[in-house]
Amino acid sequence: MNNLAEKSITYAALKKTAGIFPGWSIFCFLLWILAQSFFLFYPPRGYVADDIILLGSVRGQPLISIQHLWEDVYNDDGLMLEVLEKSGIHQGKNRIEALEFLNENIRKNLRFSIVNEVLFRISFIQPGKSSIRPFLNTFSERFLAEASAVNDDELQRRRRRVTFQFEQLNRRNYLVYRLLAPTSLLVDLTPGENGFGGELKLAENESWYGKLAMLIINELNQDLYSARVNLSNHTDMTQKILAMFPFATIRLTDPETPARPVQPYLIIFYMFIPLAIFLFYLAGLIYLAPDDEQNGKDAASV
Amino acid sequence: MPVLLSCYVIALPFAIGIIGKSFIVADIFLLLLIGVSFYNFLLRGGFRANPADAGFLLLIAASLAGKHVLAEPEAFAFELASLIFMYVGARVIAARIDRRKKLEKLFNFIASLTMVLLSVSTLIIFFRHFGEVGLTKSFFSVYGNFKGLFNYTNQMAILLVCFWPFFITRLSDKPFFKLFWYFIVFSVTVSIGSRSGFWVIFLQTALIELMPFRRKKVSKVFLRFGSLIAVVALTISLLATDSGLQRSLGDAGTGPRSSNVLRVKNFREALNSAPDWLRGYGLGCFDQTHVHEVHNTPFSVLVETGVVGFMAFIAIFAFYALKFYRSSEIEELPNLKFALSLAWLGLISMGMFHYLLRNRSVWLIVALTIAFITLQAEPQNE
Repeated sequence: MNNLAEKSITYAALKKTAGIFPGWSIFCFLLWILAQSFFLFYPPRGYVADDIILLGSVRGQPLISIQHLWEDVYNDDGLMLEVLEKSGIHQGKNRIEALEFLNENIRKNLRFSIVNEVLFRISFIQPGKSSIRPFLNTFSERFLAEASAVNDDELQRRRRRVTFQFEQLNRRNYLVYRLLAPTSLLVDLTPGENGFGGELKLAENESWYGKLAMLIINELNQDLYSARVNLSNHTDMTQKILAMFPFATIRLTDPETPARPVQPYLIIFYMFIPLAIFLFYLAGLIYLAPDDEQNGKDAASV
Repeated sequence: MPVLLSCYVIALPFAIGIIGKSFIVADIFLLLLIGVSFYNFLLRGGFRANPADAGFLLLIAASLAGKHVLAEPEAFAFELASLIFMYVGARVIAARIDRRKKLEKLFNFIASLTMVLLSVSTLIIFFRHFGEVGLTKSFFSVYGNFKGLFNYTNQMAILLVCFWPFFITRLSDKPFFKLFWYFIVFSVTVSIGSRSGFWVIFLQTALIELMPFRRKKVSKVFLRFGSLIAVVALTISLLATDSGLQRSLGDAGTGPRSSNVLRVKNFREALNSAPDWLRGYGLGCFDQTHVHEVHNTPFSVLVETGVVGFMAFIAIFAFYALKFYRSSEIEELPNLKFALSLAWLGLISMGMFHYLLRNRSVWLIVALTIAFITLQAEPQNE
């Protein structure tokens, strides 16, 4: 049989060839089952899961640089190995093997992207579904812990600074009031109820000196007001904006959120598999089909 | 010769887009040819196939597994449809040429078409050089290179590479007659400004002049080759300021358009996609996420359809090459095998620098080769 010759292909010829070579049909059928099952559990390009982290901030201004923190955590082999061990997705006991696994399977598939100044996303891709959430949850918790530690420390430092600034300005204003304004001009000198310090009010005074004093003190009050607002922004736990921009770093994504396939239109891909196997099967039948001599057909019959 | 086939061949240089830039006038005739064949297939309940067709089915199957086909569905669908259309079209054309006389007529037809094309192109080019630029604007690219009615200059170059051997092997052996046409073809190719086009046509022409078994005296061979060089030199001296000529000779310049920087960068990116070569990047998907397609046909097939698709692609053309190489010359057409060989040499060379799987002239050469092989194998019932 000359498989390299041109031959007449009819439906009957293909059917006959399939009957002569049943192994080819069985092989292609098994190949289809195998391919469909494999891609069902391990779809092309794998699965991806995301964790959205909201960084601690003061009214939308982040307290720490996420880029630097990410680089520190991502490149810290010790930290990453701890996370890997805790997640349980790698069972090797050898540290070298673990490092290889970390570099080849984890780091290449772990990414972060910045959504806005305070929101960023950690993405993790794996061929199968089962290993994604255990690692990502563990990693995110650890990352959150690192971020929270730095975040809280930075917040305390900033609070101390703004408190000092406010106190300093308040004290300055008080001294200026005392210098410029005689007692008769001062109406009120009581500490504020919320602990921010006393506020002095000037009585209305028609004298030129009184007006000049009021002008100078008004100007100084602007700084004091800004300092008070800044202090409030850093310490007031009742402000509504904390719902949107909390002081603490938190994870917004539920740890139970399932991974999703990376490949878009995956259902179409699942239709391509049987089509591709069928074409492969047909190609084999054409190759294996008997030539015209064997069939006894006239070469120009078709 | 079949009317539809003649119309298709004539329409090839008229690459005027009907639907966008991709579906041109010639495609209507090819579609009709395919329609007629499909009707015959339905009537007779079968078709003729060979192992290369099996290889093609395998190539299509492999292309479905591409990694990014569903991320770039339009590009994939377009490229797949083009490939199927071109291959089926080539097989249909080959099936229509079922007599040696038809093949001879088509051979002569292509030679005549080439002569007309070269003559008209030369007139246009010289009119532009010595006459009104505005009137010839549509035949030149924005950079001043001749492209005929094609979208890109390279398409014109590829058509000439495919058809030039048919014309030159039919030329009378009178020296001055030949030199005149050499001057014409080099004037056209330098105006196109394609480096690969210029040197491939030069190679084809040199091979014709240098084939010792075609000449009785070796001195004559060198005389003819010297004349060829003289023609090239004359063309250079007349068109020395033409940037297309400079580019043809290899001066790629440093600008982003003409230099090789982008191509090398693209090539490197294609090499970096090696981990995906098991499944393939996806047919037609590479240039969606990179600067442009890989400018190398076999490498492009490897990158886009993976190892399986690449092996299928090689199998298809290896089958046809083997059959063609083992065939003898058809008695009535001693020059056809030589002309087809030169055309294939040109295509293989051009394929190293261009993506050819969507080029209609290339698939016409494939069709002629298949017809040549088929006519060799079958007894003729005249």
